[in-house]
Amino acid sequence: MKGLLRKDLYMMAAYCRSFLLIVFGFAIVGAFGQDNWFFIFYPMIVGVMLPVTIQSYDEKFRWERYCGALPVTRAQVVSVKYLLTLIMVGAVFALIMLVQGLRLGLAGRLAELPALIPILLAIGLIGPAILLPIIFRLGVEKGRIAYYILIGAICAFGVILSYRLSGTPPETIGGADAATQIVVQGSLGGTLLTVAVSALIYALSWLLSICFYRKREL
Amino acid sequence: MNAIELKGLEKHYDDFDLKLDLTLPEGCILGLVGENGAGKSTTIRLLLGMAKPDAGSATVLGQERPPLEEIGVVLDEPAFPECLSAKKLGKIMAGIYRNWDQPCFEGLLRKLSVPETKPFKELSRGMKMKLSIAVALSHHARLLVLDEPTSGLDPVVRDEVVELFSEFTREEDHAVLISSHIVSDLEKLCDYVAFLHRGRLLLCEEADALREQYVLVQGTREEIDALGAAVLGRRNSPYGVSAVLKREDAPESLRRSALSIEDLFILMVKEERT
Repeated sequence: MKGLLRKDLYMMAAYCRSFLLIVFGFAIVGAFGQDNWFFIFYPMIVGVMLPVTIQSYDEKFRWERYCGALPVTRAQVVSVKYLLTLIMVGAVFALIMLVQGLRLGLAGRLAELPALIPILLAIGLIGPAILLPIIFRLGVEKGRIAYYILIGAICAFGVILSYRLSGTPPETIGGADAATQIVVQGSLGGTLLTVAVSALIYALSWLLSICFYRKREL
Repeated sequence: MNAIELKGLEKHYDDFDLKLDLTLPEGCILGLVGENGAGKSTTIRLLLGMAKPDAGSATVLGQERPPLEEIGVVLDEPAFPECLSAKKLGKIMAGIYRNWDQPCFEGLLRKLSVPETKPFKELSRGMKMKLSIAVALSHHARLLVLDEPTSGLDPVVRDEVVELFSEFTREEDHAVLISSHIVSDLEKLCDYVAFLHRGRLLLCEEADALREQYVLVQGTREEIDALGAAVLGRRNSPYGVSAVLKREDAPESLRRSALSIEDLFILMVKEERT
């Protein structure tokens, strides 16, 4: 497994430099924005997709097939991608917290910083938790299409549901106002619950991916 | 002990069926010969556990689950990420194989003139294949499974590579399964030869026995037609007909000539197609 992780890190250094630059750039730009949620969360969205990018290169170079002839289990192949995602979540999380800590600290609003934790971790863990099993089941190309369809369906469902329940246009519910409310009203219980649920979804996704990948023919 | 035992192994796809019994004793080299799509790569995938058989069993080095730590593999397409150099690949493999032998790997790279620091994408096809072979030989494997390892190599390099495989089997408990459609390479190297055609084994014999048992005869169309079912394969030309027969079925009256394994394979496959 150490060898597989090393390979992924070499590949990330070779193929994902521009993405890493985007992550870093957006995180820094986020320090100069006011409460611009796009700049705060976008680096996490990009960062956690890098293991999927590596998986697509694995398919392209037929490494995935070669890996089937190496003394590594299917569970290890899957686990390395989940571990790499966790490394990315940790690194991007630390970067954003540092930058936003400085921004909020200078503005005298440091108390608002912990409220970012559940949102960042939920974005970092739940996106890959949905995407990775689809990819290990269908492959990267088909998996990406299935993922976009699924996310589109979830968003559409959410928007329609919220509009039906509140009777107000959806933009005032999913926009910056709602996010500000989350930050301001963030509580320790809510934070812990969000992190725990995200971690649970991630763990279940990992098991599901192993199950899917074991059945796949290389 | 047998290095490989395939018993009633079956794999069914929409457009292709494989059904196979095959044995490779330890200390031997078995050449799997077949045209494209004959089932060579499918056989290799099944015995390495990369695909599941629909029926039958594959036992490799005495185990139903192939002990991949003890198997060196070269697949038909070199499959390393293009950004990796041989040096980085060595570090990766050291984290994958318990018995990875870095000095052996570096020695093979020097012997095969593979540059250590050039990225994989900048290597020629021959160099890529040599790098795959160096990886397969650097972790003290007992069995080599090689899928078209000499395709794309020039004759000099092919000769070097064939020599490496030959050296590998000097150890008594080592064995090699090598698939190829370059039959001349297999003739130099193999103790046993198996002909695979449309997912079925046409024959599997010792290479020397094949040359002993079969013979190529030349005659007129009428003379060859008269031999009926004894004709295992034939080639028509404006000057007459060449036919493959078992030695005991060949009439003394017909002119005989030496039969290469390549001729035997081509003529038998052509006969099957008709």
